Amino acid sequence: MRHYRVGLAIVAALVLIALTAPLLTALEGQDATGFHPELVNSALGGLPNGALGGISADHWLGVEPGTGRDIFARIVYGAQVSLGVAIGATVVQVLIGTTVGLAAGMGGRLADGLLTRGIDLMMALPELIFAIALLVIVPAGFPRPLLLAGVIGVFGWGGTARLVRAQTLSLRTRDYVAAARLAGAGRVRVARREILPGVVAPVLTYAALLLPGNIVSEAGLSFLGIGVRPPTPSWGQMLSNASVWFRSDPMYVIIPAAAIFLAVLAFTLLGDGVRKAANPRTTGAAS
Amino acid sequence: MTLSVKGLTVRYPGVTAVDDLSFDLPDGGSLAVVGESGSGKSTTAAALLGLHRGTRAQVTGTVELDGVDLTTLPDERLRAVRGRRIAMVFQDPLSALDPFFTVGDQIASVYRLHTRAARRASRQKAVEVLNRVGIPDAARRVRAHPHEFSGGMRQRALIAMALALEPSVLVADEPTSALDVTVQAQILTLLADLRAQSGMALLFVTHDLAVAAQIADDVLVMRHGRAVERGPVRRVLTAPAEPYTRELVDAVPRLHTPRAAPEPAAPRNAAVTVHGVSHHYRRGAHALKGISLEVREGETLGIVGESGSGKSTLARIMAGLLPPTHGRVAFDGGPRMRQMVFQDPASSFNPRRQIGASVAEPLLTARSGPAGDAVSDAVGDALERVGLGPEYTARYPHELSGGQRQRAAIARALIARPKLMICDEAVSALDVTTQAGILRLLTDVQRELGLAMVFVSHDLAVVRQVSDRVAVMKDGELVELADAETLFEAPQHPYTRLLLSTAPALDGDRPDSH
Amino acid sequence: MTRYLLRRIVETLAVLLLLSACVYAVFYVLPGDPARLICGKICLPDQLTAIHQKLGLDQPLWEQYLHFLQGLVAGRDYSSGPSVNHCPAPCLGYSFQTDQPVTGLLLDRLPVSLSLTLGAAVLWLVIGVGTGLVSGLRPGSLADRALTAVALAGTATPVFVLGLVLLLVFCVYLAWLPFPGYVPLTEDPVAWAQNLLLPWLTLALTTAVVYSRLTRTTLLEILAEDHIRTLRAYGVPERRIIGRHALRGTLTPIITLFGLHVGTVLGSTVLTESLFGLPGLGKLLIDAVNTIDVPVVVGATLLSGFAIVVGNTLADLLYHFADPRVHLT
Repeated sequence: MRHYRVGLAIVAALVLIALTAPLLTALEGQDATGFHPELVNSALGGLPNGALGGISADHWLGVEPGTGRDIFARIVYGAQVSLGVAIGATVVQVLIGTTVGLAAGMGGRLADGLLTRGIDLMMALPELIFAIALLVIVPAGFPRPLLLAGVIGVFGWGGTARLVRAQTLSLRTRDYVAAARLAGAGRVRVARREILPGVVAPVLTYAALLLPGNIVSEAGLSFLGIGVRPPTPSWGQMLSNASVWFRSDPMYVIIPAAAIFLAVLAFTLLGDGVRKAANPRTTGAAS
Repeated sequence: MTLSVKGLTVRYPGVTAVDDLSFDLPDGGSLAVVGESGSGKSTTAAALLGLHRGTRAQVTGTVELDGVDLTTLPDERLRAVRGRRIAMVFQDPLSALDPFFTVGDQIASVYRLHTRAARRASRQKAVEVLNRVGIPDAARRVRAHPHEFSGGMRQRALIAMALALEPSVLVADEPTSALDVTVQAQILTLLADLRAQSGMALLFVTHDLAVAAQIADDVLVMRHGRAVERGPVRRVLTAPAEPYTRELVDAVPRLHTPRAAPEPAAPRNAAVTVHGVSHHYRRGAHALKGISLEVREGETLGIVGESGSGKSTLARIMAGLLPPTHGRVAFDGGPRMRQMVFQDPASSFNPRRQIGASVAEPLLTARSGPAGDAVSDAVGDALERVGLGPEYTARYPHELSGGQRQRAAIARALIARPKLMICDEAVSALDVTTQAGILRLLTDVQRELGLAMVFVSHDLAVVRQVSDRVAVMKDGELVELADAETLFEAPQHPYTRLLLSTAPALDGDRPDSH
Repeated sequence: MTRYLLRRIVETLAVLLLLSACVYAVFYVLPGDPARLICGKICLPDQLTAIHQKLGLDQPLWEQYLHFLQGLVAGRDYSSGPSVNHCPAPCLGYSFQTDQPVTGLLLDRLPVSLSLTLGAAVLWLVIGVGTGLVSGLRPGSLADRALTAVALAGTATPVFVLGLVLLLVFCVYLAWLPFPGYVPLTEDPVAWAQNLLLPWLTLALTTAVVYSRLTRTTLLEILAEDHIRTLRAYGVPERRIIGRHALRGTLTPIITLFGLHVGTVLGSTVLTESLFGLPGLGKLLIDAVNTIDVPVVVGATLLSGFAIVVGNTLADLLYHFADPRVHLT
């Protein structure tokens, strides 16, 4: 339970940072997109002046090699993309997954058969590959963060749907559902009053565990160069740029890597805490 | 003296499960340890073999087997005693064997472990003991996996495993509680025969006094981890010295005691009529084959049968929860007028709703039903009627005991003003004293409201307590239907006779012993 | 038994067919006019018409898909002007960029991805199951708590973060290893392994976390089961209970998970290959995406989808064979 509080604290801090990004950068006195060629040494191929990647009182986390852009500002704005896309994707996954799962679980034999096959097929699709490939055919003008959240969400609802279906099927056989039917409750009332409350808790728990995975997915797509478009900053994209410089400017690798690590860790701790609170009997992590 | 237990105490963090228990079991003797749930009887059985080692339980006192205290024996030496000198048979035969290994493998490897016999000899031993416990075609069955065995056969296989090592004490923890009554009778006979042949002592843990009476010479009654009374079975059951023992004995339903106040037979209308109902599930197995019967207003129809007989399927079809594959059910009444009380008190209420909300459901769904205060008044009254009181309205199911939940379930059924009430194994999960209270309540409300009631149970004695007429089912078919007196005292069908003769009964219960 | 196998095979084929339809629809139907995608930003009407004809885009949709399927199963002929090119099955068309057959491109890159995945699979099985057993046999011990902490950190470390950190440590600070490249196994086995060591570790460590947790949980569950209590009650030594009985049960879900994971070969290697610059299938896909080379993207996507579907089926079959309780019907 203590771990869960640490997670909650970091998550709260990250959300706060993302929300107050303009304020924070104003406080530092920098912005995320301004080039500062005077801060890098063109003779050394664009390495930042000064130790540790140019960390100074003006540039709290140093500057980007080559361009001299402020890393602190880019990390802070990157938090907006990272958290926003991850949360958006989770919402999409939960909405589609719960709808499909509930429909499969409550529907007749034919509907269940078809939907279950659909879920299986969904799970069989190579999520990352499809996400990558889909980004090819979408017009360039489409807002990128929205697209990322959509793509990650649309290809990642299979697990939620499976969970909801299994839970629904299990709840349906409980005696209290039979009792509600005998009490005159119709299909809709049974679904809303007796089934849905039993589905919500596990779904929220599952969603809390999906979220860190979605942070990783966004970072991965951005790392591959098909995430948000420059000059919008994102952690994965920074890491991708940094992989070119990692020999000469390791600080540039370490900062976005630490940001991703911290965010995923915090959300995982939080998710674990939620899961344990919801089901105190289980030991060890769910796979 | 084979086994001598002195001052045995088992403490878990926060609870004392067994409290200062002492008893002896002589060579070749048999002792039944009887108690309701939470009495510490199973904990005692496990403690005898030192199965609490390595858990959070704290065990004090001594368990002497032929003068050696097992509680202080080093692990290595205790292992040599387990199985070899004192063996155990467990309640749930479905999970007591490793699903990945053949039955023969498991028996042979335990035998080899203790006797260092050769592989071939061990395998032959496995066949031999499987034969002895009455597994047909043992030479072939020795190669079967546990899931290919029925529940009764698995329990035989476990007994065979114990038998192979010829222990001086066999501890059996509710070995027949998960089995059908006819299978239970076979296992009890087997244990008695083996005891007579091998001279091993038997410690038999059970919740069922009638079973204890059948299997053991002596009985030890436990409650809250303590010994209440100990003595020869006959004496304890006929002339109990302690009030708790008396209460327990009185609560046991009798097979041949007629219903308290038989209803004067007045011709009544049928409340529900079942016309040639058949049902089969997806896989094609027939659950019901052409059942026809009727339940009249104001009468209780008992339905008995073993597992797989289709009795619960029939109950659900009569309640209108399940459409029959063939045939039809005619019910003379509107929606909400058929109500059910289910077996499992744990799943009969939505854990996320207060008891009051669940009980009120029939009123809330009715279009022209009462609203507001009228609903809460009605819920309060219904809870009061079943002996719970209106304060239970705001409780959640997990705050109630099993018996209290069954009472609330009856309140939920009554609030709808039903014409037909179906009880599906409604008292099977309850302790015998709680069960007696629920049975009284059901009989009272049925009389009071003139309900038609269907009472489904595997337990013949319980059915006798409440039923006017009784139907016997087997493999989806109705084998006999008669009024209770006739069915229990002059059964016609051989299967009914078999059921009656195998049902464990308390001494002096059978008509032929009067 | 035979009936079960047949049913599984038919089901698998049906899923593969559906998958191909999905992929085809996504890339050839969804964009409206794929020719425009192919043609690029500056596109002359003549070029557009030529592409239309070459790809058969002037035919009805279902016919196009049938041709596509026919190419997969039996091969097909492409006519561009007077010359006719035969593309043998499984034909996935020609790359827009290099005009090479896509099937050949994929086959060229396959050994790299297989080297990466299979090597990593061995490592993640050994590391994951090993640490899981250590944790599960002594729950609450120092080792268990340490491994739990490491596993938690592991789940929070994506492949590309771990890879970069390993590169920093081993190639920059310690300078123990050269920067990875790819040397075919047939050329120089030692150099092959040396170069793949970091990619293997990167992929294996991030995957091993899942196996470690699964092994721990399953082992603890099984040790609490009734049949283990039976063995204890019959004096079977703890070592034998674990070695013979508990382990057997623990392996079943691991085998299943492994079957599923092996199917995800391509998906899991995209990031690793891209990070270490390994010329595998993942790299091919990313390059094709960046150059909008639709036939290559379709080919790689189909291949990875097929791998997963087949992996799923294998996992299912393995599970059925591993557990005697499951009836093959």
